[in-house]
Amino acid sequence: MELGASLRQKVLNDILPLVEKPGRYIGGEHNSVSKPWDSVSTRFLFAFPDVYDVGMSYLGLRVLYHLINQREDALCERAFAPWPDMEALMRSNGIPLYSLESFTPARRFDIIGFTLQYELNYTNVLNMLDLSNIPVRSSDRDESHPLIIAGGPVVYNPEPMADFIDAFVIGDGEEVINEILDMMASNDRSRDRLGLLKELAQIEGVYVPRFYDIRYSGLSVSSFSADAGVPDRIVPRRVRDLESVPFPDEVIVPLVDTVHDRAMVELFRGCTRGCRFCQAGIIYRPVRERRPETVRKHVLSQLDSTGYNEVSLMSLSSADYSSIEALIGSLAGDCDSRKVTVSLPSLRVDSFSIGLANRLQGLRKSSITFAPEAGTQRMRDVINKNVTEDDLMEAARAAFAHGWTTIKLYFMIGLPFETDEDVLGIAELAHKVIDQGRQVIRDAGGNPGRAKVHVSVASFVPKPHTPFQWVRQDSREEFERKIGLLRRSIRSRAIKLSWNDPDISLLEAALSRGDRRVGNVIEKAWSMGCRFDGWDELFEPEKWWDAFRSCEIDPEYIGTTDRDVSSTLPWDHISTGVSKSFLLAELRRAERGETTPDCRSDRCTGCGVCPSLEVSTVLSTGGTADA
Amino acid sequence: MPRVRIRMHKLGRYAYLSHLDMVRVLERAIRRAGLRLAYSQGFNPHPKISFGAPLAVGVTSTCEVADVEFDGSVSPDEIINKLNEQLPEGMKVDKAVLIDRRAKSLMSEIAAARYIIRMTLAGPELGQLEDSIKQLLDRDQLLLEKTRDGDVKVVDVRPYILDMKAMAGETLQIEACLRTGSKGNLRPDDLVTVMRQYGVLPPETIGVRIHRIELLVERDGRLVSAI
Ligand code: SF4
Repeated sequence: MELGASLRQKVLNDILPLVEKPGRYIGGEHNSVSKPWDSVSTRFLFAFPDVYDVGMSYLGLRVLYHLINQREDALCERAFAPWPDMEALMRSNGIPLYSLESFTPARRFDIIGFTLQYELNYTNVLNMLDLSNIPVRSSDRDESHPLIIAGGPVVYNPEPMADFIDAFVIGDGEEVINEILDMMASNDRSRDRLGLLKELAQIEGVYVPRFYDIRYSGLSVSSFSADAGVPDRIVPRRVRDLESVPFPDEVIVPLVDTVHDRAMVELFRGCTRGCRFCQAGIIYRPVRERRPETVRKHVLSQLDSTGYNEVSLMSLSSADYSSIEALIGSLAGDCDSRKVTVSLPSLRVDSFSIGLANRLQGLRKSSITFAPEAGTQRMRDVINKNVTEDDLMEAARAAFAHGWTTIKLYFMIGLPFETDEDVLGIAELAHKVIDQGRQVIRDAGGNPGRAKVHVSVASFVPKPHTPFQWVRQDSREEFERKIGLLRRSIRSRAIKLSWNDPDISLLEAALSRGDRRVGNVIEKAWSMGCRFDGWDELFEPEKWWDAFRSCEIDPEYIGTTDRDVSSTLPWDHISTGVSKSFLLAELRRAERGETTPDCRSDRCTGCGVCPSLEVSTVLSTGGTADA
Repeated sequence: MPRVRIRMHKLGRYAYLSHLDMVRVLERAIRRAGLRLAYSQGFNPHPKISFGAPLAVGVTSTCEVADVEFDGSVSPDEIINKLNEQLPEGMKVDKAVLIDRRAKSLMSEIAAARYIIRMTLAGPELGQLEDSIKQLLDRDQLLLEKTRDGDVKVVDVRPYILDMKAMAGETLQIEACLRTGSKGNLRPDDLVTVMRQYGVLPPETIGVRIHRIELLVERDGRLVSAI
């Protein structure tokens, strides 16, 4: 019997009757692609280091899966992290990590590609390698093992995972994945792994950490050297025009419920609003829009090929799409007659966005979410969140008037240059929103008691490549003190306050700005049993702190120390295209409370991406900013 | 708006789908097939699809029966052909019939279901099994402990076993017809528990697999196939 077939039988017959949510592990979805194993020369396993329900909601998987399977010489299958109950049964029954399409052991693939969306998935990567019977450390692997590559937003600081990943792919994946597959097709990879990696390192955007010797002192790099023949600095990949890369219509339709179980079409990539805490706002620059006709075509054909009854128009801020009104107008008739709802993720804080949401959601109104991020105007200027109190009040008024009764407000505390006034400003703002809601509902003859506000507060985590990459994060004590302050200042019973676990933020900070030495900690934490660290119910902070201690690394020090702006940071050899001098200038402007406009609608503000990566803003209405 | 009763398979890996998953899969297959589903009115319109007697996750079936309402005219043959183009092997539709719109809901009509229980690995001998089933059915009472919301209840399930016999197939198997629905209900996995409890299945029996082959409704006091 074929290896895949006997594995499948064992899993289906003996393992799955015993696990929770077995539908995660069966494959067999509509539009999944099963190519004969021997019909291609390169087999790629797309590995998502979280559960199926999360991974299947990720747009990048849909894009790359489709793109690779379109090639004649390659196939792409999928694997996700098994939940601990499944993992235990797999281990006790000798079942390796397998692909959902053909139940082929992961180890038999030529390439395993991980997508790293979130630092708290790192231990799952190690666990998935181990479940595949592949050594977790790159240096312990040889020609008999698949090539282990990784991409995604967090690889802009690849160092914490550098010991485990053979090659990182920095930036937009659509073009570079084809170059990697072309190279694989022409390379006799059974012979010389080092040679293969050298060749891979020649591809723009590919970083092979073993060719770089990096030494540290304190939190900064003291010496850096690259082997001969590999670049000193990694230039990220950026697709110039999204119209030129394929977008999938025949997307896999999960059989079981997933987090975002709907059609998704990407409107544009990039956001230049310039929020200073936001890494996505840097690493996807500049704004590149698809044309509304293209979006419309993909919406309709994706709905046809999936049977979904909901489509999400994706981007970092969909109301900013320059043709949004025209697009929504052109979709309205088709979507109505098909009983399809259209949704826009991440709403902007203004009445225009509320108007859009109202048109789209019709009668289905539960709660609506705004992210003013900070409680006072001064603080919002510091972070360059271009939202005024008037904008928020207007948006809230519109939302209550359209029938929403619960407004969720997202804030961060521990932002740089924050004072207690800024923290208290959050409570003040929430009270104003509640008052506004009561007023509007009362005026409309309703019961004002129905107005509710949920305030959700996260501890700010400074991220690499942002203007705040040098600044410290609040310690746990500071965070808790500020939460206490906030709690005491909330007087209304209609306001609910929630905050996230400070331990999670501390760990996230230590991992996201960590250097290569943090790899030992990740391996240690994994070997102590840490998995799914982003899941509250499975997160075990004590194990992590033990792991840090045993590696003699202080996570609080990484997180809560200001860095010298003249030092070399552990991720400086990875370029985003944005210049360090721009980031520093932004930090200075933050300190002075000065804002920076959006280059999409205004002049180029000189971040450096366009000239250095030879790209430019692409608006579907034809406008561009001159860089 | 025609109401159509369809019969679907749920085999192989698809046994692991839940009742809600089945509804979703069917809804999307119908939409892809270009057939027009009828939707409920109201804030949150949902498709008019209702399966009778949902199975536990892990149970296979050649008799998943659902009533589906369509918007506009459709023929049963068209439904079978178009849906099967959209459904995977293991979830095919093998029968569809138009039913009266005023007919009672499928859920409320279901009275019994017929199962095959297979022992794939170790189990009793055929002769031994036939004898012990006969003895089991001769009892006046078959008590089963059921835990619901923490409370333990003892139920007499003997009246819910309508018939039961051992058969030799590829492997040793039992066919049983069990009461299903609001007027008494015995789940096939509970029958397995009862069989273990009363020694019909010796403790070493492993690899028990349950498969549904028929759903029955009551018409004029007689049990007939739901489709
Ligand atoms: S280089 Fe100028 S136009 Fe281009 S993204 Fe940066 S600020 Fe905007």
